[in-house]
Amino acid sequence: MRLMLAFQAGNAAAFDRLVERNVKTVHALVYRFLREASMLDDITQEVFLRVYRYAPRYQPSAKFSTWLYRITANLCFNVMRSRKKRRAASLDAMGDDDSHREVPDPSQPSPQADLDAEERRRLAVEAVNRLPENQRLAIVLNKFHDLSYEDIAETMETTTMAVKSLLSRARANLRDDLQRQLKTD
Amino acid sequence: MIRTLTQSEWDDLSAWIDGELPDVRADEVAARVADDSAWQQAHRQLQDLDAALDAWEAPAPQVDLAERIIAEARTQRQPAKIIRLAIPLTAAAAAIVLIAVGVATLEQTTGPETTPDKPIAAGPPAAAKPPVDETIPETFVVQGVDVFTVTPAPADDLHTRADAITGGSLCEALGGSQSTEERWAQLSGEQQDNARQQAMAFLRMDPDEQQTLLDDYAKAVAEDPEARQAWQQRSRWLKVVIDSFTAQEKQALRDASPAERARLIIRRRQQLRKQGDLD
Repeated sequence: MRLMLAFQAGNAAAFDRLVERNVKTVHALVYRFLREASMLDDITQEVFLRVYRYAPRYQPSAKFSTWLYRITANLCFNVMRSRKKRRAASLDAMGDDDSHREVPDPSQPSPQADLDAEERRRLAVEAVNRLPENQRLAIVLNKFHDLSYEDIAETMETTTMAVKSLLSRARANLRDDLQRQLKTD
Repeated sequence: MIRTLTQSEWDDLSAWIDGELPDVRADEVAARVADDSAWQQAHRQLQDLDAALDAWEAPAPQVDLAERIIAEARTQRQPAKIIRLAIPLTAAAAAIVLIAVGVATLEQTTGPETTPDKPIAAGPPAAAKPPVDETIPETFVVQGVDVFTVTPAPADDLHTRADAITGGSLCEALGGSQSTEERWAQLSGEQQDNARQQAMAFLRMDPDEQQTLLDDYAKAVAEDPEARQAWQQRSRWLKVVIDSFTAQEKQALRDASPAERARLIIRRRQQLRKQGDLD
């Protein structure tokens, strides 16, 4: 927050330090939430350019980290919406080609009952990617960014009770998804 | 056969793993996990899931990504510099709008010299009056802002000032040289609502709090000679008017509705002007 206030007051070097300190965090959040490797750097850059442009809006009553996460999440939601529109248009043109649906990669090894750690990771990540967007964001912020329910609620502009429910449903969906994958083997 | 946890139990187990349950409930869940096979099974499932996700690494950004971002930002227009004061600027801005709303409202509806002066009634307030303030037309606010906006404009164009109003203060947003009315018209509906809310929040305050905010604001702008001069010119009458109220009259102000409070202040200003006690 101190750096952000310094930047608001006209200290350009404070913005540089903000970027340096947070670029890895934003990059990781975009990666796990969006899984858009080809655009990862571009989206990360756009997050910080928004921080730059929106600096006058920042209020010190909010944690800088949750403000930054919110900007990141909103941008990711926008990208996902655009992606869905493009995909819908593409499917219309191709007559709903099944190969474009989100299904497990058939070239990957099938799940086994005695899955090794790497296989479990792959299945878990695929399951996370199939979660509804808001559940995915909540689980990523909780699991990989160590945000409290209160901070997740602030980031997602919702209540802590809603966050509790989101995370619970996300975990139930992940559990069920993994069990389904094992049974289909 | 091990039963499945209910939704509520699963919710609590999930929150317990995150350390987000109140102490009493956390103890209950811990006891269940220790003793109950259904809870133990669900707990294992969550632990397995957590362990699987532990291995989900994110790639590191390219080493020059931060550098590239900073370079790109340098090509952008410098954002408006925000001058943070020792008091909440939002409240201070509201303080300025407050009276402005009252002044403009009354002068629009009654004209400055047509309302007979009446003494302020002392004693308990009448029955609660409906909250009329949200319906004050924006033009009244605009007129008020024209009179009372005092903060020097740090922004270099309307766009940036409009940005500031959503998270900053009315003063920051409207402190430029362009006609305030024109600038107001260019704000989004959300921004205008924000400005109105600031004004209304101030109107609902205790008069002593309002005066304290005004005083604090005066101290804050004192660091800037131009702002200080503008503030002094624009706020002097208010201080004189407030000081003219007796303790009993201030109590009546405190008990009045915001609209009535503004009306009483304006009447007193007219009265003092007639008496030659105020320019």
